[in-house]
Amino acid sequence: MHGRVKVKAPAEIQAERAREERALAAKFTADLDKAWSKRSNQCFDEEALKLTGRILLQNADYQTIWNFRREIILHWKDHGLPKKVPEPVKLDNCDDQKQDLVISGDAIGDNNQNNDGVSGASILEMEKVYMEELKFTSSCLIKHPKSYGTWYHRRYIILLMQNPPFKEEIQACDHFLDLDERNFHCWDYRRFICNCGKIDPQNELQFTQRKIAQNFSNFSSFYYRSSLLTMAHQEKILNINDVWNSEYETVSNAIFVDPNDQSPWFYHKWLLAVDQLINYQHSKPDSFIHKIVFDKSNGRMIYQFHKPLRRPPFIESSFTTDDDQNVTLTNIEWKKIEPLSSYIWYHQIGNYSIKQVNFNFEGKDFAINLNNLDSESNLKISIVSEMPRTNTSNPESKLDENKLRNLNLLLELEPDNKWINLTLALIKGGPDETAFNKLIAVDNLRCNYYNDQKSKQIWESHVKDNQLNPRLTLNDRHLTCLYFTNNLTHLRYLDLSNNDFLKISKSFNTLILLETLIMDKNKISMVDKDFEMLSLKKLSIKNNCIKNFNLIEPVKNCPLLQILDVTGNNIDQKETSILPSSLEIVI
Amino acid sequence: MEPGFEDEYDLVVIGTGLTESIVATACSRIGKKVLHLDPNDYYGDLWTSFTFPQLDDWARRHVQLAGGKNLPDNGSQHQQQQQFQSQHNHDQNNPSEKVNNQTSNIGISLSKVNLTAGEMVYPWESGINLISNVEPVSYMINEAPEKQDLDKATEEEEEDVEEADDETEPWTFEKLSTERNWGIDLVPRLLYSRGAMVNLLVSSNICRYLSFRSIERILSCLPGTDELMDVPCTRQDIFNDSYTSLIEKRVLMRFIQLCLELERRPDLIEGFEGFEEQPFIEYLRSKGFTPLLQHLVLNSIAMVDPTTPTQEAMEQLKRFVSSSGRFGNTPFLFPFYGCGEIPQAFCRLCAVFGGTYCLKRTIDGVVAKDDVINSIIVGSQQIKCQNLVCSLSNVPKSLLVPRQVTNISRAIFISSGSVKDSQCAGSLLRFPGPFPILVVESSWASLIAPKGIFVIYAWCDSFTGNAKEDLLPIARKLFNFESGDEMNGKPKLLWSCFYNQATVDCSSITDKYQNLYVTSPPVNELDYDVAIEEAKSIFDTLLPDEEFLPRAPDHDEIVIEGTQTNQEIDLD
Repeated sequence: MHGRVKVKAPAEIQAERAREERALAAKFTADLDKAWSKRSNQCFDEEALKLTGRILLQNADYQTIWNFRREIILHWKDHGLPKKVPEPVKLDNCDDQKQDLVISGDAIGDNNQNNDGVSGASILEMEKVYMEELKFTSSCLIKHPKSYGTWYHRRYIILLMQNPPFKEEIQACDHFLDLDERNFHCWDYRRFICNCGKIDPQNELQFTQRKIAQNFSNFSSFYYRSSLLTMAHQEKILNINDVWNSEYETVSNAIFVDPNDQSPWFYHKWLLAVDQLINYQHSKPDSFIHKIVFDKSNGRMIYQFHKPLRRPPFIESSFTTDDDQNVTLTNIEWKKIEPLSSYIWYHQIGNYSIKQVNFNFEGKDFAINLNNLDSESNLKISIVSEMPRTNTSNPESKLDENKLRNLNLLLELEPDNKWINLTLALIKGGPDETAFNKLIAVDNLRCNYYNDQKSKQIWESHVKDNQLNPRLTLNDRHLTCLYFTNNLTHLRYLDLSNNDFLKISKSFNTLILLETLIMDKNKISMVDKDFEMLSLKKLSIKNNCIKNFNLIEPVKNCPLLQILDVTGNNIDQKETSILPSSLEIVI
Repeated sequence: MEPGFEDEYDLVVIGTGLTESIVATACSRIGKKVLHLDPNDYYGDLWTSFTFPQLDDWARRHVQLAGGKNLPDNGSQHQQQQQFQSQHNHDQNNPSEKVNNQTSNIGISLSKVNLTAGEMVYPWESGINLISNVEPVSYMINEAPEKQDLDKATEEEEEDVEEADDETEPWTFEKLSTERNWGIDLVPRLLYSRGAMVNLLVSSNICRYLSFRSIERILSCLPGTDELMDVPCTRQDIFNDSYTSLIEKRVLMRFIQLCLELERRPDLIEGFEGFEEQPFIEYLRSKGFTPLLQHLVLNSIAMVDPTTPTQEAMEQLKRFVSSSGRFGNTPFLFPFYGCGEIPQAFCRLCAVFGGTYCLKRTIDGVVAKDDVINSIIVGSQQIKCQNLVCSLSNVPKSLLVPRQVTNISRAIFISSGSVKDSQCAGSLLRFPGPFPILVVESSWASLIAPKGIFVIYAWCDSFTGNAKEDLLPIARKLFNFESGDEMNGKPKLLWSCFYNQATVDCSSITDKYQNLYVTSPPVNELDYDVAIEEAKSIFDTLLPDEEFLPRAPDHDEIVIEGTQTNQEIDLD
């Protein structure tokens, strides 16, 4: 009947859609063929630009086509715009409407003056081309907001421009971040623009405030805010102490609204540590050196710094020996413990007994008197400046009674929430078995993390109390790993028996003076491949879980190791030939 | 000129209000032939959206009408008097529904009617008037003559004047009347984002004819004051709210999470912590809700009375919470161009599936044998039909059984500002009490008014019997009635109209014909649950084995027969 509705069969609809897709694919392939041939002919005309535009709108991840597009633009820049005058029809339409798909190339006017292909296009002409490129990438990004190639092209164009439209770019970022607040490409690009365009951090702080008000679960906003605050503080645009309370209030609101959301907790952690981070970066050189250890047995000087250094701290120094001899060292051959930046640097000094060391570090002269020799360890250990607290626990100054009470109230309301438990455990500081056992109970999936954190707190308290003593014994503490090894470099003797270590990790390598390591009654089954302790002479791993010698083979990396005690392990194979014959093995 | 209807329809529907439109569409959708008439010259009946001049005209006609009737003012007496009186013909009292008077034609038509044995012809008179106590008031200064002079005097600076005009020129009746973008509802509603109407629109695919704007905020009047606060009802709201303390935030958020949990696990609500039959307020107190939280949860989120049993309140909360965040921050949607779009969207689908539409038309009579209507008479045409669906106001009073009616007090306020500082917000506000008052604010942002204009609706079950008496105290809380400056921070009222709308449950309101179904007028509800339920129940009675509004195909999935099919895409 005329005018009656007939519903098409699904197959019919499918066939229609398939036809449309085929047509689209055919067009795409045809464009691609043309583009390739243009490129091989080094033909950089407007049609080439249009072709790349059509292709990239369909597939924004086609890197080679992006490259071709950039070749075209660079060619225009160096050799002038193509001669053919384009129809300026679309220009009006495209100008206002951001959403319009701009197949670039249409809108380049003003090339009446005849470039004969030798001199490049004028700056003004190229700026217009670049503006069109920015519009074009916007069109691509609407379809492919997370295309690496597109964001890269946009940066590339900005860097080519004489006067990039920074404000408009920030607005574009606002727009894209409204569409997808977690688009990390856009966050990156925004930081890039702020950096290039010297955008006022206050402006950006307001932006993050708005984003956090929209969704406090988006850590990108909090993270950006934290880096902005740090930067603004360092550049004296604001004082972080002035804004600290209002920041804390914001983050408390978020924590109370959703204590299971990790974003505000991370920001909370940052806030508690921030002044220390910042003060740290502003410290003077003398507070950068923590400790100097003179190892008389091996003729070594060991320097420990509060911040990791990438380059040797100084290249020459002079010493006064116990018999008041003056020795000058030039071209010191430094060694460091970590491969890149290292907290610990050391060098050989020869057969002297030293009482004073002089050097120039970061423009400041130091003359440091060493402590008396500890006869048992043959070490002189001297503290130059106290080490800062670790960034997990320095809340006393910041968290007044009221704030602490609120956190404890939250714990009452949400006794099983892992974040509040963890935060309070870290704030209280000091080893708190019950708090961590609670955490392991409520969040068993992360029990190893909590055990490590517990170990960390135990180490922290002992490291504080043990800065000069070359012997350390820590038994029966359920330790699972080693922490603050940088502060333990002065140790000669370490007894970690009766703990929960599962392996001997390479983090022990930092203990470059350690001669005796006792790790009886742990759960050790293996030794890390990269394990290498420079001074180790005796290693005792009695009553552990070592199944065969292959698993502990790396102990042979220790050049001075003499005694290895593995009694009480259930070693099925007694074959020891993989270990050096010089090693005395107690089975 | 007589429209040429066909000789036979499966269903004839009179009235294009929402309920009738849903029934008509549901039948058309599954292939029934539907004729849909409305005596008005607009779609939607009481469910329509008017332009300002239309609304003003509507109000004036009702005022004129009431002037002749001399209704008593006293409320309770009034309610009792407004029972349907059988056999009394008040035909003249129905101005809006009755646009063209066909009664004189019926005699001519009747002579041509073909009757078989036992059939009789019965004239069809228009029905009762549901609107009363209409009181429109304009607070605007009439067209200021000096302003016109000013225009002439400053012709040279015309542009400057025009620019300034946008901000400073006061709204006048004239100016409002000449504006074209209006969609003022007689029966405003909000849609829960996961409510019955949204679900129906989505499942039937009728949603493609409509677009909505999310209601931005829910407001609450702080007890004992005129101060309006934004009710924090989502996670992010609670985070940003400045009225609630840290602990209150936690308590409220936990509670909202509990409501969400109930959505996933309905079994939890059974024997709800021993409170299921206890008043909700007791439950809230036991959970340590502060007075502020109690106020917000009771009055603005659950929207129940303090004495409502906890289990019932929790169901309301579930509804609220599950609708939150689907399309916007609040659980509510408001249609662009006004609620009158919704019945029209149904009608549109009905027409796509072959439904025949004619406005300014009703039936003049029916041909019935015993208690079955066999055909209807429209003008000079006799049309066979299986069933007749009719809205209450289109059914002759003589067919109705007497029944107690409920009176709803309604008000429409037109203002040049929002009830609480905003440029374009849509808001919901509920004033608690024995007769809770709902207030919905919509604005030009929903394309229902010219730029800068806000339309605020208020309604409640009538307790005095008179809309103005019921709602004026609320209006005084919200608006500045003085014509002077907006000194007290409240927006300036430009125009208002109070009116009462009667409603009654129309199931079995007539027993005269077994194939006549009467739909109820709008009831006092926020969403459309009752209307949809009624429409579905009529549909299920008519066609017990058919699916109610299955998904309609998209445009590229259908062919209108007799037109060319989509052309092959040129592969060149």
